[in-house]
Amino acid sequence: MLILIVLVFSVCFYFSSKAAIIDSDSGFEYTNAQNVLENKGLEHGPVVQQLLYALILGIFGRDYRNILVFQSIFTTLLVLVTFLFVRRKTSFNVAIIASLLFLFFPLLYWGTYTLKPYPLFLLLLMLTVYSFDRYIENRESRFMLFSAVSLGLATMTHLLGLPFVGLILLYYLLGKLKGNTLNLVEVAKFYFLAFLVVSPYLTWRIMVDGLSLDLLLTYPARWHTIKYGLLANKEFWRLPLPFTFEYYYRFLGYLVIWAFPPSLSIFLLFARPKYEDKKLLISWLLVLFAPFFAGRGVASYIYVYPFMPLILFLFAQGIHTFFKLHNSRRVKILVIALIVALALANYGHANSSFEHRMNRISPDVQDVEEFNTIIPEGRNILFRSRAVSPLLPRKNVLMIQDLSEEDALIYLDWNNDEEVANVFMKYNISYVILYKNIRWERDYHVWFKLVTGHEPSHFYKIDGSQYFEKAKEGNVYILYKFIKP
Amino acid sequence: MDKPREDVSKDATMRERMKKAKEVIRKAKENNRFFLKRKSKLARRLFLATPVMFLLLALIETVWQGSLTTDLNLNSLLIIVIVLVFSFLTTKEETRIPREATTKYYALIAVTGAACILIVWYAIQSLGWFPYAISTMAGILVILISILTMKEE
Repeated sequence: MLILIVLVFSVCFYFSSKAAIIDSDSGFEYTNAQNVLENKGLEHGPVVQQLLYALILGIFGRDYRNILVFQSIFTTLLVLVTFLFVRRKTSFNVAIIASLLFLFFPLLYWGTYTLKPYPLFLLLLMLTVYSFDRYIENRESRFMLFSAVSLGLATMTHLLGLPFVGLILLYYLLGKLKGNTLNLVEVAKFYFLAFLVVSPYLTWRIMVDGLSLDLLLTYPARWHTIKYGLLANKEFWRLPLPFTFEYYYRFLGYLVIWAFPPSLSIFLLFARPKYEDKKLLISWLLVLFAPFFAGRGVASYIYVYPFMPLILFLFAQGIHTFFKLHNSRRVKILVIALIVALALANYGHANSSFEHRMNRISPDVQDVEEFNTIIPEGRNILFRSRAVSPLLPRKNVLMIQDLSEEDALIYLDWNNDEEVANVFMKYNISYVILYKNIRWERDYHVWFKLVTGHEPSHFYKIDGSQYFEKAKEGNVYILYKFIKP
Repeated sequence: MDKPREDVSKDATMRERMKKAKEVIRKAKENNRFFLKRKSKLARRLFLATPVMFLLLALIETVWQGSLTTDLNLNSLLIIVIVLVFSFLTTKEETRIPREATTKYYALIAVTGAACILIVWYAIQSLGWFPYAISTMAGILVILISILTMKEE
């Protein structure tokens, strides 16, 4: 049965991650991994995924789909660990049904086919919770060790792992209210072990960056993100600013839409966890909401991702109680059939762009694949973001943030051809990819307008420059070649 | 000193009235218990039917998109279902002695599994050969989970 479930998930994830995507976050992670392989150093931020992706690309080749295969494996493992956790709390059958419900979550597919380390991160978090729960039950040291190591690795995989450091402490404090199952020495031991895991990383970060809070909470930690990140979120991406009503309203809205499959939310009402589980659930919920209480998260659907196993656990509890309340075989068979049919029939809808990605190559992907045949290996290419990087292996995609703020201003302002040429020579840039849609070239750089008072002009002045020639015009992008003076 | 005759007769009347009142309360309590029993049965049926009905409607909407939502707002219905379920959450667990698994149940499981194969295949048929694999797996899963649930009893 379990093998069958794993098989269903693996097939679904494989087909979900089959086709190419162009996405800033994926490009960023791909470039970081490539930089590690080319001895250009690590990006100052979480390192586990950078090293792991570099290892995958180094062993299996630079095709980004190699990483996607591993993303599918991590997602399947995540479902498996969630299954094991739910099985301990409910029953084998309910855990199987709950695991199938995972197929309802569109975010699960999103996490699998982008190169961001969400599946690995969530897998490590689930291992932390699962091992900790096992430790609470039988006090075997190996579970505490496993839980602490998983937590340490999770904090080094994604910044969202940082609030999870408070999970065990919160559990202990909640236990103080009634029947504490954990003592202070055990809590100290846990944190000591977790600290041992992250200590090399922390030492490296402090040596390189000093004790700057921005560097710990912002990734990528560049001038643009630190100084203008919030402005871009508000003006261009239309994301509300932290500590506003809309910020919390939007986030809760995403949580309801993305993490609660509406047709199954009825089962949440039936959930009746035991007291020990309640303590864990409350601590879990508090650490998940912590970045939003602190105004550090972005009110975007992406940040709903870590909520999924918790919601699934509540679903399982609900179904478990529902089956206990209605001890009729006919009802049970009907409910099982309805859930399985809904989960699998809904698969195509949950994974919204599935058909599109199965049957068609997007024009933007087609453009970049053609550019890839023109651009020689090892060249530096300037683009708005690093989104195109996975489709241009063995080439270095630089984004505006990779230039210094002054150089970025010179390039976007384009007052003088010679000045721009000097910037290109300084960073050894050979090609530029520009969007045909000026929204991404004019409106995207909202920070530029704030600094200079006018809009960028690089996207039309480049055509009249003697140092640039049009190498290829695609449907979505134009490739320009830089001719050195 | 003895009570006056009038007072004695008053006491007797009071006792009589009290007796009658107690009788009325007893009957009311009995009626109420009867009512509560009825309500509990009704609650259980509603409790049982609403989530299953909603799942059924959700499945119809998933397979034949727009077939229900043109006339019916499923989200509004969900709120009603949640309110209904929430009102009857106090229903106690049912204790039934599990009966022997008869061929009737196995036949029901087989029919449900086959229906599941057809529904899933119909819903995702546009995705090439992939629906054949997924719908077969769906049918097998329904059959296996149902049998396991029955064995668990």
